[in-house]
Amino acid sequence: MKAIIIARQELRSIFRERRFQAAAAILSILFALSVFGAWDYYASNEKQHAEAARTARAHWDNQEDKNPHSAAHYGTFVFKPVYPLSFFDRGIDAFTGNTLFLEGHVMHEAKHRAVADRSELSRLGALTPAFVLGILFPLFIIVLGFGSIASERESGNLRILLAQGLRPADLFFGKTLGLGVVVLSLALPFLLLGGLGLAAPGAGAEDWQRYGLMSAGYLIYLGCFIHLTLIVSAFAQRANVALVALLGIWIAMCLISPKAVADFAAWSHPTPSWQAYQEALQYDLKNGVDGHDPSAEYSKKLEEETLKKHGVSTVDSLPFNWDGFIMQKGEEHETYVFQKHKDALLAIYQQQQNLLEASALLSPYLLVNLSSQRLAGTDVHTFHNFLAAAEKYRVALVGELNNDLMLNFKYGDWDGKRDKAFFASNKKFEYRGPAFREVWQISRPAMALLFGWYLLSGLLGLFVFQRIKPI
Amino acid sequence: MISARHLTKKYGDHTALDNLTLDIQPGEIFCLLGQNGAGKTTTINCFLGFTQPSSGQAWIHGEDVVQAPVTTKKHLAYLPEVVMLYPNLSGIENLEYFSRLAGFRYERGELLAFLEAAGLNEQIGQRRLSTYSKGMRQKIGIAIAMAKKAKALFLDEPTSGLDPKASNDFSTLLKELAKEGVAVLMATHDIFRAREVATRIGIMREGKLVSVHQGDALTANELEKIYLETV
Repeated sequence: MKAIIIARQELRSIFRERRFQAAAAILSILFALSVFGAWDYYASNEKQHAEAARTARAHWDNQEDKNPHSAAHYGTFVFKPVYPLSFFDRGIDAFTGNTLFLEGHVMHEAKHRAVADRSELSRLGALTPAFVLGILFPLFIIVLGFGSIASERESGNLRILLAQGLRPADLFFGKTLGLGVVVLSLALPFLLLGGLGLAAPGAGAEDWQRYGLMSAGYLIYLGCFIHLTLIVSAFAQRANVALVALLGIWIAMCLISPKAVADFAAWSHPTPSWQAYQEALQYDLKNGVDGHDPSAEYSKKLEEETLKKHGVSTVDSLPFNWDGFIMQKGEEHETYVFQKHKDALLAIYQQQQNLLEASALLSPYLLVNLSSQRLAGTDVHTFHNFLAAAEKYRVALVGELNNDLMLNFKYGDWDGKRDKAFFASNKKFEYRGPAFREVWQISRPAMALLFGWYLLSGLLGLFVFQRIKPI
Repeated sequence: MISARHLTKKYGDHTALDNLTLDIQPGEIFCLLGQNGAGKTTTINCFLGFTQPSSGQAWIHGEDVVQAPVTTKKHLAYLPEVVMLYPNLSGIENLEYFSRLAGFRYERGELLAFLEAAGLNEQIGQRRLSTYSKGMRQKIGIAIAMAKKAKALFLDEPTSGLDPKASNDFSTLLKELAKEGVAVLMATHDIFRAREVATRIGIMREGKLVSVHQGDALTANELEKIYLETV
């Protein structure tokens, strides 16, 4: 009960303050801008991607008549889908690239990274709702709450409060509740506004589930900052000391820790240089089947074995087109080699990622960032999921083409052609991204840790308040 | 009502309060005189539980302040030297807030009566505290202490900064409270005021309660002479 009386007083006091009015106005403008800007980004990206995907497929369907294996060289493009929630949190989207060229023999890297087109300044981060909630809101909490206890101590009010018979726990819960309601009074309208942005592009039920969890994550995160602010304010002898200490914590947790942790992960689990990676890759590619170079050692061996198996002496006597067969064997080897090297690289990334997740415990910002990106579908996991699906599609498409060459064309008939009807019937890239269940599964640990942070910081707050010194 | 036995507070080598034994009965006003650092505020802090005594015990209404930090506060009210309260609340709102925290829910009329008793009218009570003078804030502090209807009252230099008229009103108020059975412990520099209101006067030096005098047995001049000889 006393806690509610304190919370009401805290609210009344904060709402009457100029500091609150100014901070709330600035935050509201920034949030509105961020939703608008992010919405614009999403809408244009979504349109571009949908169009580009249609165009790429149209190019494939309407390509000139050609030999199926030539079509494998002609290649096609696939695009990472733009998820409705990417407007809220762009995550690593700008850095990963979203376009992939698929062709025979080669596994390409994703291209068209948005950062490549931007000025250096934009690398500081875009003004997204995630940025406002994750970086600016904690600052808002600090500005409103740094004096919550320290100022009361300085003014001597804390002495009177405690002399009135107030329990320290009531003081803590009251202050937490008061600040919490102030934060909710701003965050809830913002989250509703963000919901409107989500409603517009016709998001599905899964997107709303994701958004609900993201919102909950941000609110828990802000709760952590309320606890931290009160703890520091209770410790500090003077309000200005509390302010400086809290700003230091904010800089360390929100600005430095993401970079420091990423740098540390890269340092402790270094990835090979581009040259080293390519050299190793090329070495393995050379020492295997080369569909275009029948004289290659491994190809010779394969030829002998195949002839023996079918009991014939020349490749043109085989019951199928040797060219198609050897192309597909080469393709399988190349895919194997690319995949092997890619997997080794991914294993290193995974180690870095594990380290990153372990060290996310250091800062609730890292935790909310991780879970938010994952729920928005703009994280590393979703990106690799797309790459894997695209590669699977590439293998299937090239396999389809080589198979056609092998079964339906005569040996040496490189002039034989397929027309539009055939190409239009080829497999389509139908990718919808990881299902909600999978997304939730990988977001859950970070969310759970975030909640743990909230509980532990609350317990620490209670502990500190029990020992609060009014003088 | 207010008792201490061998109450001692040490900060390292420094002894802020040295073996204080004291009993203040209901209806009694006990004034502590002494220079800055003599141990007056430390004494009050020990009773309020803001300072943990190094040894000895303190009781309010028979309850140990260390063992029952919350229940002993039910019986006491406290007025610090500087009363800031909440500048963006009105006088009435401040009084209401602190009273509710103490567990009292007063009607507006009752709140105004406390303000009246402390020497503030309704019009002033409706103004925000940021417009108040130090003396007016002090009166809100007095109203808060009175509204708690406590049996033990702790005052830490309550009249510093009050004009003579307000100070005199305060003395009258204090005597009325004592008449109703409140035990008062007041730390002050104001020898004249102490002589006027106190039942007993204690003089402190370097943490020790050096001497105790009956208030009505001395004139102000005699008291001043004793005080100056002591400190």
